[in-house]
Amino acid sequence: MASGKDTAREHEQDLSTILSTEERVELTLLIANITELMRKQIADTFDASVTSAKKPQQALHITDKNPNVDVNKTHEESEEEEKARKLREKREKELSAPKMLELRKDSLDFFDKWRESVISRVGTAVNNSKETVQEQKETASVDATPNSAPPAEPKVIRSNTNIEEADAALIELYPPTSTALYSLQKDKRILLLHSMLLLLLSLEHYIGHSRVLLLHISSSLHLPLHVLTEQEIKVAQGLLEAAKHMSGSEETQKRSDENKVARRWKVGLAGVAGATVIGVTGGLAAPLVAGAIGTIMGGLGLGATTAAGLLGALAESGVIVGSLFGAYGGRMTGKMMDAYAKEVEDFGFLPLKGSKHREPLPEDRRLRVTIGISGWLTQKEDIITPWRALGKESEVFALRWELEALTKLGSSLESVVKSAAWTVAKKEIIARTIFASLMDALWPIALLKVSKVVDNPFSVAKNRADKAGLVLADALINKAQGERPVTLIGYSLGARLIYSCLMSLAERRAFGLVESVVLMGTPAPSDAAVWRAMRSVVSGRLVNVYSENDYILAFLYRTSAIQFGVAGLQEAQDVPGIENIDVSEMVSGHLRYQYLVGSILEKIGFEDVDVEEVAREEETLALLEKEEEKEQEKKQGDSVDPEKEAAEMEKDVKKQTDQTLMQRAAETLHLGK
Amino acid sequence: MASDESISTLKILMIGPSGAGKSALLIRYCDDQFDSESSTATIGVDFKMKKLSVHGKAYRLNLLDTAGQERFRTLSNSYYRGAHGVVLVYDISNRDSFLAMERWFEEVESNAQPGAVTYLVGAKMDKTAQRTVKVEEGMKMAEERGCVGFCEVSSKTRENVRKPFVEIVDAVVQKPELLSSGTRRMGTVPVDGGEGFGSGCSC
Repeated sequence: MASGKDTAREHEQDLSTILSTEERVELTLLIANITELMRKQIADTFDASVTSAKKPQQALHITDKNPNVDVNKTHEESEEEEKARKLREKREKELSAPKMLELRKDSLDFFDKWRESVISRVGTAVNNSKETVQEQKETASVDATPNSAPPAEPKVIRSNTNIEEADAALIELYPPTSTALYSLQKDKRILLLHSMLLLLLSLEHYIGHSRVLLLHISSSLHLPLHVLTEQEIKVAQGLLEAAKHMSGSEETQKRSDENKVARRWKVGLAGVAGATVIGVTGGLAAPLVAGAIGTIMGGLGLGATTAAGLLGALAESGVIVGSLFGAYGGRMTGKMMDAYAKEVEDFGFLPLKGSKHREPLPEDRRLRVTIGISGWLTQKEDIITPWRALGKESEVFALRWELEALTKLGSSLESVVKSAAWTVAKKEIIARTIFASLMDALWPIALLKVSKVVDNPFSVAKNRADKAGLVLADALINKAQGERPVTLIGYSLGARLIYSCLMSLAERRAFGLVESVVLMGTPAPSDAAVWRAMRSVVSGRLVNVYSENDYILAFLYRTSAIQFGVAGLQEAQDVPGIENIDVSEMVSGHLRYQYLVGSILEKIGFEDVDVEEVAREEETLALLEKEEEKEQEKKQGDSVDPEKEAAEMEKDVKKQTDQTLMQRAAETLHLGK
Repeated sequence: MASDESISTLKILMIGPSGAGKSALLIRYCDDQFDSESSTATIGVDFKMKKLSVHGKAYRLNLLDTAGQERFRTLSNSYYRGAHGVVLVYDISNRDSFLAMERWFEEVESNAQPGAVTYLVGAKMDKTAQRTVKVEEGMKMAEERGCVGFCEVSSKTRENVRKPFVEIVDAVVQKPELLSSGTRRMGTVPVDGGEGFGSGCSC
């Protein structure tokens, strides 16, 4: 034991060589302040007196358009104040429910545990008696007033337009906490960020909270976001490269056996303090490994030993690196998913880079994982295509689920939208322009006649989405992604799937697994209780993208419980920390989301967007719109009997679905050879 | 190593005004080192581990050496969580540090989990010439404040250095309710899988 501890101790002597005492103090305080802020934000989620409505940007949208789904409809005319009071009472009631109180307690408990481990880890790194004494003596005279120096280069970063944009988003989302450290030289600040990344990784996981902390630190150090993402990529490469040189297969086998059991419920954090963990495994240190890491991460300014010291056990065991990237227990590709596939017809992660039959190449590995989930399909490529817009800063997977149900839904939706009945109905709806009527099920008769074409596929697919969501939650809890934070993005039923997944995570108290979530056109409640629960398991951003012009969604969802609102049509109200983004102008109908993923992500200031892909997406959409217009014109002339049309459509849908499925079957056969 | 997993872990905090000698005591206790020249203030919170056996049973102590300086007050709510015991340290040659103990006791009361035990330590007992706080005064305060014990120590001469730790652990383990709630919170032991957030050492 003692020797293990000593090794760990020796490694710790590094932040002191990078930073002066005063700077280390600042760093500690910065982290303390940021984590305090993060904790407050979590607590606010459960605070009745705080609502999301106070943001001015959003207030514009709320004013009068909103249907009062949360309040009884008859109260619509009542005074503002009374309304506010009622809402508040309602919130208080909802929040004092035992279930909510428990969730609040558990999510704060989880956070506190994480914070404690971070603070002790930083504490051990910044405090080192021997080193400090010497260092202080040396620098006492030189560095007497390091912080009174004026900000050295406050605006240098702002030269590149692209980067500046990313910064604005970063600062808005994660307001900088004031710290004297920002006046350091830029390369020193980068080094500091890099060290913090390594320190957090030494906790042997990179949970959502850790990532959010780094985002806060970047913002506070006035560093643009791309610095952090570059660091992440480099460190990921470095770790994997170094892991090749580490530890023999024996340990690997043992570890992976252990993990089979241990991993199951290992949602929590690695011990009370990072040092504890390092104490256990620290004895394995091999200088050679440290060398490997140093060489690979060279150029970042940290020496080999220093980097290895910050990384702790991670620098000494390829196995720990492996579990960070999800090599044991579960993994994103490969066999593990087969077990889940039994429950849901098909379910699997498709890497956007490389093939699913192969281990992903090390250069494609990242410290973060993004999963894109499509909502319906017109062709099977639709599973992947929308997610091409996601950048390479994160390891991107598309979720393949329920191909058949989604294909059927896709073709039905398409045919309904193209139908004459819909064209007529849409005019009627627009003429009324009262959004609330969408909720009141005053649908044109003609439309209801064609409804049978789409109602069934939708409810089938919705059902499957709920199930697949549970399976996804299972996969995440079992660390298919490793110890990396996951970002989930989905539209339509894909968003429904995420909703179901998050609700399940909240119920199972699996905090910190999910970094950010973007839901677009979600057929799920907009009710505060639901969103509060979802918020608790998302460490970073939770974005609800909605369109008030999404008649299709309103139509599809009309038979579900609309008294709780529809997230895809309106704001998720009264929960702080949820970003509601109105895309009514962009999204004229539900079927548009598929082509707008990139543009929407860009609009909300999402960090990893491939701008070129977005442009391509926009072109496709423009083409599509033209085509549709032509078709509309064609249909304009002839009036069709809705009954007949419906029958016709059903036939079409069947034909199309069959075709797609046949194609798929043929391909599978082909592959089988 | 395997036996490590079954040892109960106790979390003990060291608090007190800046310069009282918390870090010196801890370094002497854990590493048996002493540097009379050293005057480095702890930054935030430092962390040390030590194994200790009381009544033939081994315990692992997680010792959190906190900074005494006022500017680190913001951190205090992050380390009190799940602490079993708190050692309050003052300097016998510095009357102000003794008088300040009132405030530190208040901090414990408002932050520590209910039932956490406290122990009062007067440090630097070798500085007899500069003594400004009498032994009796310390004893009296410890009694008034309901501490489980009091002693004076010298990190320089090693006198009594182990005593506070042995005694506070002894007091903690006599409170099984504190022990069980504490270990659960710290996620150290439960292997039975009943606990959602288990120990993470296995990764």
